[in-house]
Amino acid sequence: MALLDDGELAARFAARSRDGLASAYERYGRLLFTVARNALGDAADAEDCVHDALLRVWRTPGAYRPDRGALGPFLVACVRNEAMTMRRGRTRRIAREERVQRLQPVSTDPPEIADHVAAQQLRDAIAALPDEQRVALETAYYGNRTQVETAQTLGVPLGTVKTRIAAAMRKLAAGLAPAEQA
Amino acid sequence: VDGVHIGDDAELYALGALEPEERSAVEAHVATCAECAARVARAEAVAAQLATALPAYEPPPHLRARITGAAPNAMPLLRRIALAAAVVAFGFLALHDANLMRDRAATSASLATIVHSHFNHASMVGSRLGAPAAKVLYARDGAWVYVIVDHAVPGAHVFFGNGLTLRDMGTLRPSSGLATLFAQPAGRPDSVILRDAEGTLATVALKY
Repeated sequence: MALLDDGELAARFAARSRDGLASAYERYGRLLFTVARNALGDAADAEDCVHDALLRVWRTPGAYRPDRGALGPFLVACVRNEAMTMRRGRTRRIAREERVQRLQPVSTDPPEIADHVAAQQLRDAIAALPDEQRVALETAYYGNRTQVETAQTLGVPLGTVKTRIAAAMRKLAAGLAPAEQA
Repeated sequence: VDGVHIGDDAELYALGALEPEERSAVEAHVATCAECAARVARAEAVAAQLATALPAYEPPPHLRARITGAAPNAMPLLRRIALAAAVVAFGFLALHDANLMRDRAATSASLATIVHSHFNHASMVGSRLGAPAAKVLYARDGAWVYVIVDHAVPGAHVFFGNGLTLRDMGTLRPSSGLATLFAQPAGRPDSVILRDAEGTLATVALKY
């Protein structure tokens, strides 16, 4: 299959062509699976999650609009939201698994990062956030928590959590802007 | 959600941190608000960056086929078959070309035969990379076989297998963006094979 540029790929995906779907999976499948697998902690669940989320947006006319943003990040958000929905149905089981996972040694360097410069840039940008914003963001994203769960975990009001996370994301957006073009 | 725009929920949506009802509200709002859609897109770009810092996992090899294979193949082809049938039925084909008129008459005749009988259908299985998506509709009594390929395949011939014999039924006929062949074979074929100069493109076994 010929390599499509991002714009052409996005257009074909939005037009719901089969090669648009195949190319999107070629390009983003690994990242999407990584997102689902990290949120769900289970390979079979992650597979279902990527399958369901990707096919749903591909099949639904107007679900993705190229004029509204890049396809890759859009799909990442879809898969992440799908995974969080799946977690909700499995909260108890996953909580048990994570208690087990917490007992395992955790690697500080995530393996297999395609772009080490971008990854370091990201780590620096996160480290540069005000502590309360950084903790709220990490608790929600890397801890796989909703804003309500994050508020409970941190013992702060929901509105405060919302404000801190949104501010952290906007700061990261400003700091990471050039890398997004990749 | 502040009533008019989604505000900070744009960032929380991109992170997957909203409850289901809040998420639905965001999706409904951005469908009509370019300003908030742009804010969500910016947040999604950051969330995608965060995802690249997660421990990476390799998807199982069969996931690709599961996503690009079964479901997507069937749907657009069926949609195009329905479209082709509609085009023929409503006579939207250009009428200035005599050949087209003959084709149209032939296609109408085959569709009439199909409409008045009970039939099975089967998807052809590609034998090599780049094989077109194709379906075979066939009468339960074997009286006719209708091969539908999702795009024109130059030089491809359709063969009907019956036990040890293989009969060349000729080339496909272009029809409203598809390529089709309608045949009323003497014997009941037990397989359909699509071949071009390089060899077999796709095959299917017919079960009665």
